[in-house]
Amino acid sequence: MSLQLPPRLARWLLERAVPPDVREDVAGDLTELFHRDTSAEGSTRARARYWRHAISCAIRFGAERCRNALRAGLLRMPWSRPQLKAALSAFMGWRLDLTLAIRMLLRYPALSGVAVLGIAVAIALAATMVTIIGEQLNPSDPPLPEGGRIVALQRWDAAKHRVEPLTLEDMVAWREQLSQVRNVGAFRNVTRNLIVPPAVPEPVGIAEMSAAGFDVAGVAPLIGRALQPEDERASAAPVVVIGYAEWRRRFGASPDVLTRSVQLGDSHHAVVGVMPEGFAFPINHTYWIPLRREPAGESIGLTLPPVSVFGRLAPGATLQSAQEELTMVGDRTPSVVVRPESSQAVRTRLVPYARQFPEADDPGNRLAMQVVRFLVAVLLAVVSINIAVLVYARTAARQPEIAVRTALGASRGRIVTQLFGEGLVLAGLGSVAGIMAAVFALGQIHATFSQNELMPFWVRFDLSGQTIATIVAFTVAIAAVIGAWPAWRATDPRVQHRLQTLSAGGGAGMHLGRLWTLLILFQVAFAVALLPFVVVRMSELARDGMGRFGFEAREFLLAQVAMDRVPSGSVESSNLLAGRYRQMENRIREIGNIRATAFSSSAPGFESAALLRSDTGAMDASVRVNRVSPDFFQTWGVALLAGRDFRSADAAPDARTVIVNRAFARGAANGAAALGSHVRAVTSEAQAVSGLANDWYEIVGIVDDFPLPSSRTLEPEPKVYRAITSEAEAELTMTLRLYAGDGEPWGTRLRQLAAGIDPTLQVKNVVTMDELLRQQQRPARLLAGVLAAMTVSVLLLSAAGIYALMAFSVTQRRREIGIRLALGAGTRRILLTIFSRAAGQLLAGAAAGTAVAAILDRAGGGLMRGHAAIAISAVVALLIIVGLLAALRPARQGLRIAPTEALRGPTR
Amino acid sequence: MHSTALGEFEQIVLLAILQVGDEVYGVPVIEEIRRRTGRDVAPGAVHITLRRLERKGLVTSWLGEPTPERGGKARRYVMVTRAGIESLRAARRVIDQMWRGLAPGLRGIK
Repeated sequence: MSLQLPPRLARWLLERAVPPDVREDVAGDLTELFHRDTSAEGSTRARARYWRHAISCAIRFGAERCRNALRAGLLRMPWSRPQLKAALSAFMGWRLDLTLAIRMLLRYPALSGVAVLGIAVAIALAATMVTIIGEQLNPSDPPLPEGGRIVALQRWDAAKHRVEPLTLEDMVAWREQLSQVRNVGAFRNVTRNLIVPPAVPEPVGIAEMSAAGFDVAGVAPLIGRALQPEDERASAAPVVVIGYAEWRRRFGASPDVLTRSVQLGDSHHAVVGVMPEGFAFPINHTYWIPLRREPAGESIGLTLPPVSVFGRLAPGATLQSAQEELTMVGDRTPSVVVRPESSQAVRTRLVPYARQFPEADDPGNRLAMQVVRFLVAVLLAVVSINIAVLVYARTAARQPEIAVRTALGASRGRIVTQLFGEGLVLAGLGSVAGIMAAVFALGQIHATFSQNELMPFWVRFDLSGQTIATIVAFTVAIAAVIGAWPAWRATDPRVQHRLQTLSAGGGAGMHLGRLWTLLILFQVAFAVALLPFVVVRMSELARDGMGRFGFEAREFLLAQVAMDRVPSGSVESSNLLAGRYRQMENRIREIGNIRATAFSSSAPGFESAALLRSDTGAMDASVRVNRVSPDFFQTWGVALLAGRDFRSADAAPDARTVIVNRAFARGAANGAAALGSHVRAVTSEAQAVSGLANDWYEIVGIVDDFPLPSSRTLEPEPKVYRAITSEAEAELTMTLRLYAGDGEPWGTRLRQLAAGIDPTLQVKNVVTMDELLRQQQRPARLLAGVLAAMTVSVLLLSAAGIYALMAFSVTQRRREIGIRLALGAGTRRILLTIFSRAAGQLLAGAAAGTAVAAILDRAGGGLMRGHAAIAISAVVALLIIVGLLAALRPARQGLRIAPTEALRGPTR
Repeated sequence: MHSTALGEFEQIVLLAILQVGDEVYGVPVIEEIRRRTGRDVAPGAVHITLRRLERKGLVTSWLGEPTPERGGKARRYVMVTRAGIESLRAARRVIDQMWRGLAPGLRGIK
């Protein structure tokens, strides 16, 4: 049984807070307590308790560290008594400012809360986006000695923007001919069943790698030896090098591991070395076996998976000189594998190792990321403006207090320092919360991506020192803008003088002039222009992220089954595969209480799409294709609407029959009677994806749509089903339909059962349909949450900005309002006067924003998917309501002004 | 032997180690204190105390084997040293001295 892990962020906190000498035992104890709590009280309570323990440990060990540092520092420093006194008084002065700042924050909890939240959301979003974009555009070098000099050698199709497959022959040719690149080697990813009794057999990802890989990485084994060229010989005894984590997990970190062997599939490999902690070259591996030259003919063609080639720049060589040499050599040695659909623009290329994935160089991706960067900068600007308005208005309202303090002898510098301190506390709190949220979000994103075992080990998504420094600078800048600058203005001697002479007026000195009005207007316009897109995307994501099946998805258990080596299409090997799968099905029926079983090439709802053409005259369409066993529809309880179900004859390789779903019959067949019509895969790529031959296939049946939520929309998608042919698939998804309440540990049982039939038969990713959907929906939920936080913070900030403006405006006009009330002006008229400013700004901003949103929607080809009018109206209505509600309190305050009080003198 | 003055929690932790007996590490100590005192003790407090006691030479520790239920982390076993026992005795003597001579009725003081 796999144990659940404690919360990731809490573990991260613990890792950093607890001193290294006790980290292992503290983390171990907390994990042990977490598992006990999980089995006794459930996961939610256990997670909450783990969090409490982690925070408590962080505080206690942090305090201990501070105490020790302080004690050591005080002892070491040659303090004289006056120096100590001066330092103490400076510290006490700052402490006083800090106390005052905290008191001020607590005095205006709503304002402080909104400002902190705004800063936190902006910082979190900016830090997260900048980190992810930075990692995409400029991936960090692998954390290996001179990691920047490790290179990947590729054949690159510039027209199709993709990497072409390479074979061992390419690697050997390059190794022999290149002088600018040393240690040229190759690897391929393979999966084998790891069998170490008494543990349950488990498929593990392995790097089948040239011995040169360890020289390229430049890391020596922790114990034993690395792979050597002799291990690559066909006659050599099988060996394996294992990673640090696996050594600890499976072998209890025992040095005797070098005397043991592990069974990988059907062969036993002697363990010859253990790599140090953190080593995962070439991608994210923990097992390494030698990459052997296959018997002649085997590696020619695509019967074996392609390899990736790497090397290290020779001393003195540069990327450019190595590229020139590779181009020359590459032109002399054309590839042995040419995909039929490859363009003529295939060239050899050499890239830094971390940049080997084409996504980083895609011009579209780069542009999109620059746009995101720009939006993040605009968001930060909007947040800063709003918070500046908020705090400026508050400082203006505190002018009488500042004047009194000045009169009592407080210097200008003292007051500016104090208000700067207040700004710093406010911005600091927001920044800390923002950093924590960013670390959490990045952890979640990393966890989501790391489910893919091919996530490169050098991609960390950690906040860089530069990002943290930028946040600190941003915090100080915000503190200066929201604290020091208003304070400087408020303590201007001329303002002070006017304040004294105009003692009857309130807040006479500082103004929220035209600039501020423009800023608020801009911010409302920005919100109206941006939020409709965000709201439409958010609702789509929320729908996708929360969507559920219309049936009891927990009753369907899915498992991927595969065999170690894909047989090369001979009848014997096909029969072997088919026989193994059938054998497994029979054993499952023997040992468990199962309602039904079926096989398919993909889990329902997760099929690949291929471009198909229909002979009814409909346009070519992208259709999801699944290859299924004859009992598939019965197992899933999908009704046959017309025609017939698959028969055993449909599984013959030359059978040309398919079944389509209702959505296909309705749409892709162009309204004509789908039954009896034909479909075919249009391109060779579509044929490869769909598994359909280059021929027409007759539609012999129509089945109901699966009630499955898909990635973009809840509308059922058109689908085509083909019977699995006797040329069995290399990897299949097995469906087990369970009885309700089945509590069997099926993951363990299936793996044991498969390894019992054949050690090369792998069982991976055993999940219920329900869990599979949740995993798939995780990114959508995460993104929807981020967008919701952004929307709420923009709305809150807008409301707060308008509130601050209104409140300030009412304060300034108290006397005027009082006099008008005394002269008999009606409540309605006064309210109208108060609201008119807010309403004017809101409407002007909303009009400008609406125009921008409409233009953007049209320019983007309907980015709001036809919901532009509704989305824009909803956002405008919401902003106006929020804005008017924000203006309500100041308006009511205005009405409460007693004429006598207004005429008498200054206000609070 | 010179004994080190002990705080209340230090005494509790030392006594819990002695009560558990064999194979003592963080978790059994935490649970023993919880069981006997009814206090929901923070693991961080126990670990900091164990570390301090080790620095004072009152307990000694060594690392065991990593186990899967601990996320592959090893246990740190602890044992009270002779100096630790001596300090506990001294602390007990001080408390006993302070109780001595009080009227029997005061024994029920809470």
